[in-house]
Amino acid sequence: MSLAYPLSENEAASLRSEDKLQTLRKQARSVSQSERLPGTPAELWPVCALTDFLNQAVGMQATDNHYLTRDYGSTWMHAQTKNAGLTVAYEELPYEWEAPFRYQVERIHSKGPLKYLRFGVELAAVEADQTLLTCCIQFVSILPAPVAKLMINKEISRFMQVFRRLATQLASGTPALQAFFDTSAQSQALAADWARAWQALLPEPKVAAALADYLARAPEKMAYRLRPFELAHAYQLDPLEVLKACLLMSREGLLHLMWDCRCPGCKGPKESFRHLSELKDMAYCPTCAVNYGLAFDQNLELTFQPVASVRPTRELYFCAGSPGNTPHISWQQNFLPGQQRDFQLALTPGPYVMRSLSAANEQILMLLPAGKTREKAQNKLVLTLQQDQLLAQTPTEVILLSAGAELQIHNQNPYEATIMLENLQWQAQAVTAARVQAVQAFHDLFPDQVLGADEHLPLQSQIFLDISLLEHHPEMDVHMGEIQAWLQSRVQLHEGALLAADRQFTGVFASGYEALAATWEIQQELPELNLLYTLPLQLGLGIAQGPCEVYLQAGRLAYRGPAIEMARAAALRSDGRGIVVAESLLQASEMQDFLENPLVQWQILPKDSPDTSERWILFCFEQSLVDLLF
Amino acid sequence: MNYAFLDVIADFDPTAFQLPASLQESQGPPVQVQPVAPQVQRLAEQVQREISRSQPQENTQSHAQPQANPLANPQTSAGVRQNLQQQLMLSVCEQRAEELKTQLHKLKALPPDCAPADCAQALMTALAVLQQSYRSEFAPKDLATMSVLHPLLKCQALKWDQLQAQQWPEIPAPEAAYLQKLRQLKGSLGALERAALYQLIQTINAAITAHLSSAAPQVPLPAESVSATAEPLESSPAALADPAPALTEFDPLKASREIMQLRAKLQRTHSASEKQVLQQDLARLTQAQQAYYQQRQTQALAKLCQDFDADLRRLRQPERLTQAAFEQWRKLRLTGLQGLVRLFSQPTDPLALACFESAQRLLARLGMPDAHEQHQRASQNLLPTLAQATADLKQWQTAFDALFEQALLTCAALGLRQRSAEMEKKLGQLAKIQQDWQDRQVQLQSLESAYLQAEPLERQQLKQSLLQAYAEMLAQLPPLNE
Repeated sequence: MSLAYPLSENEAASLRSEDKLQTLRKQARSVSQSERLPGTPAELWPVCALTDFLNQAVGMQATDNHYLTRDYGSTWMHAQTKNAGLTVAYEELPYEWEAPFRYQVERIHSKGPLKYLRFGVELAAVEADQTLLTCCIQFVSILPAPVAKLMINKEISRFMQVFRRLATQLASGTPALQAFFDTSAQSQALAADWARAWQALLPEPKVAAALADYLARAPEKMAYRLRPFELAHAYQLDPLEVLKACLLMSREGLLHLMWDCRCPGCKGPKESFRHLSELKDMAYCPTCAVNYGLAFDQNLELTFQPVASVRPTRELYFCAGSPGNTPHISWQQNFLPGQQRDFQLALTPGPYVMRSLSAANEQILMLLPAGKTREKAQNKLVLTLQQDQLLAQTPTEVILLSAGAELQIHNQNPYEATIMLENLQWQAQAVTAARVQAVQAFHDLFPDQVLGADEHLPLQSQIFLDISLLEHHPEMDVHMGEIQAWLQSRVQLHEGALLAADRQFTGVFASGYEALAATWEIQQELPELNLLYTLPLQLGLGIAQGPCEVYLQAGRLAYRGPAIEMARAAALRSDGRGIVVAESLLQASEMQDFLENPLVQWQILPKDSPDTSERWILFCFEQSLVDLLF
Repeated sequence: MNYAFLDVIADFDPTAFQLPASLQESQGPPVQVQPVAPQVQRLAEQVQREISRSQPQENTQSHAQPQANPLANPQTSAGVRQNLQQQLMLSVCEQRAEELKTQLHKLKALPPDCAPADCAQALMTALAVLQQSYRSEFAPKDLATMSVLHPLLKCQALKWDQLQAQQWPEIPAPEAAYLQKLRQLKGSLGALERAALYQLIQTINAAITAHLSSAAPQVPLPAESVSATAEPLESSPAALADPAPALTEFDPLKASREIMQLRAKLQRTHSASEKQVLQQDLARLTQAQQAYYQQRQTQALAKLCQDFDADLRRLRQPERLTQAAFEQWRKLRLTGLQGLVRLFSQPTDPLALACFESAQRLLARLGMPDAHEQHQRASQNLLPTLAQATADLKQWQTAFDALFEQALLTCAALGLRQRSAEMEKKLGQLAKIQQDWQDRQVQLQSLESAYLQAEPLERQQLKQSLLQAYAEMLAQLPPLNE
């Protein structure tokens, strides 16, 4: 990606001007084709919106993309490519889409046989499990109209052929992720060979086969960046097993670790490093034209890349701003200066964040399911983009919207803007740097993957188990190694990792349930261990969640900040009586398992400080019942 | 911790040990080297690859085979190797601890009145598994561990030899000292493994001692037991288990862990088919756990019946109510109530219910009001009645304690053998209060039975309130050693 923009600002502005655009839109001729395909729009969307792969599938060449930062928060994009030997260059407006029903992109050409092109795809549900897919291209060409129309028609036919093939594949049970996979006998044989070889390395043969299949058959762009949780979802596997397998394969020299610094706006991995020590606390996104901070548990993602001897890969772009490249965005629309537009929201119910690169704030929307009403739910939402603020007519913290609510947005600024609705599901498939810290295999296999000496990164929320030895006596020193080994085995059995420093042990967990499960087991096994010791081992056990930061201490990653202090204070409050847990961690439904366990009694501890809003719960095992049952 | 046993030459020489001749000669069961579990094997290979990687060699592997990590430096490699060796050690120790604990649970599940032959068979199996556990490629070989483990294994071998010779075994004299050393051992056994080994040997010895007086000098061993252990043992401990393992080898702690792991896995798994398998596993484990709890609960309730029986007989003889007897009675009362709390926290099975009902019949035979009628009345308005009963019980408890103290003082003054009029009056009041307590107790039990017989939905609503009422009642009881 070159940083120098190929056009002068004036040239680009002229191509993008409202007058020019409106004129071209009026002049444009339209060619379209429709076809009924098996599957619902929601099923077809994940493949039909992957324009990057679609373009590749119809034989287009990769594009060279350039970005020009606008001081009002937007970015212009200029793409260059070759088509039938001719150089083609164009200014591309941001894609517009409404998942899973339609998307379109407009391009104003500066080079090549076209002056203007609008490519659009619409998916309309017909009957229960069929979709009418319409592919439409509107264009203005310098070629004679019949010739241009013939060429465009051929182009659409190629797209329709790919759509048809994809829909058939999905209908026959191929997961969406694998729709663009290489189906040649050669790649399948390679996958089978690798699966056999890797089964000796990995504990789960299914995981070995899935990784082999992915790396041998996935399109180059996907193979270039392997996201373990995404792969686990596609192959119906346990995400943690896939992550552990990737770590092991990296240690075995088959994959590379890749730390992606994802832009909070476009979620693109704008900077990537092989080693954590190369990270800085700030990164730059040329697409969004923003400097952004890194948070260990938010936008620093661990992905994997095959080593060149397994499969050489490059990151190629065939289409820059595709909805398939930004699956975290469900809805995106462009607004000309001063333009007001009306929409009807037909998105999947759930929470969304409305944001714009031109706005400093964001709005949180909660879209209710059809038939569900709430007192404060709105049927029409009116929003204004005013300077750098996205303002709702009636401001609230969370805007409740009825199903199918109307949306009116007015861009009152004298410049163009793009407004989007982000869904929150995508983030769940990211292995953040914080997530992988809770995997013991990561610490075992990559002890050198630590931050640079002067770096420290924030975490919005992390779960810690603090294990403190409450009474110290010399016998404990003798057995400290086996005590640590026991604690580590219990923590890792429940998918956590143990950090140890000077008789202080900290369990790092990704889930409150697992943190409490590990602590539960430690507390239950402690009496067995105490049969060995003259003076009983007394443990303080506290679990807390909260913000903190990660930094380098004595060559290892360590944590400091409110969460770790709260966990430590909780451990001390437990005073060897049981387990102290922050009440907020017990809100999840699965925690009922512990609250209803007949072997324990729990009580709310009095607040240790009037300033703290957190309440603490002490779980004590009923020893008489434990004796009775075990 | 020293995990050197994995990659250093063994520094242990068994012939250098000066043990008594009987121990030195003891052979124990014929065992074979145990095959390594797949996860242990995989870890061992991983360690081996790390070691090979640290040695310079020509790379002739194909591109899909593991290769040296170009990013790794020697220091990192050493760190990784050490971490993997620790993981290997944890796996090996965990596996052995599980095997030992299974035998421990089986021995603990033996009934106190089991026949010597059955006991001998269980002991032989446990001793054989114990020997087998330390015959694998990854068994400890370091001097520190083996200087304790070797003589202990020899002691167990001697017990097996004696059982094999149809003699009731003796506990070898040096064993106690080695057991003490095992408690203090700093070697290559895991902490839980060490605890399990210690407990298992203690339990074996307890079983030997318990049967020592009753056992005949010649132990009538079942033929199948002798034939099973005379042959070299199969590698899997399952081969050593009883034909019908059932709940005797159920490890409640392990089951609790597995249930929690399965629930966590269910939360993160996407695959519907995988979820189904996990749910089936979860249901199977939960069912086994409930069956185990119910078995223990039934045993506890049977004990409770006996306690009530003794309790009431004691209470009906006021002249024998000394301070010690009173404390004993109070303790029994607490135990009974705790057992009931336990009962209410777990799904009940017919056995437990039958046992509970037999306790009620026992009380009815002892002159209590009709329990069934109490159920009917209580079910009309269960919770307020229970609350009232709890309040009454608390009031009665206070009155009883005060009165009893007074009665004891009076008895001390007058002498236990002097039945003065005042004493008779006090004891009469005491008897009345005792009767009141028994009534309340029965009333509460009736309420509990009503709860047990209620519909599941109704139970859910009542369960928490009932437990809370019990917790309050327990909290109100004075401490035992007051």
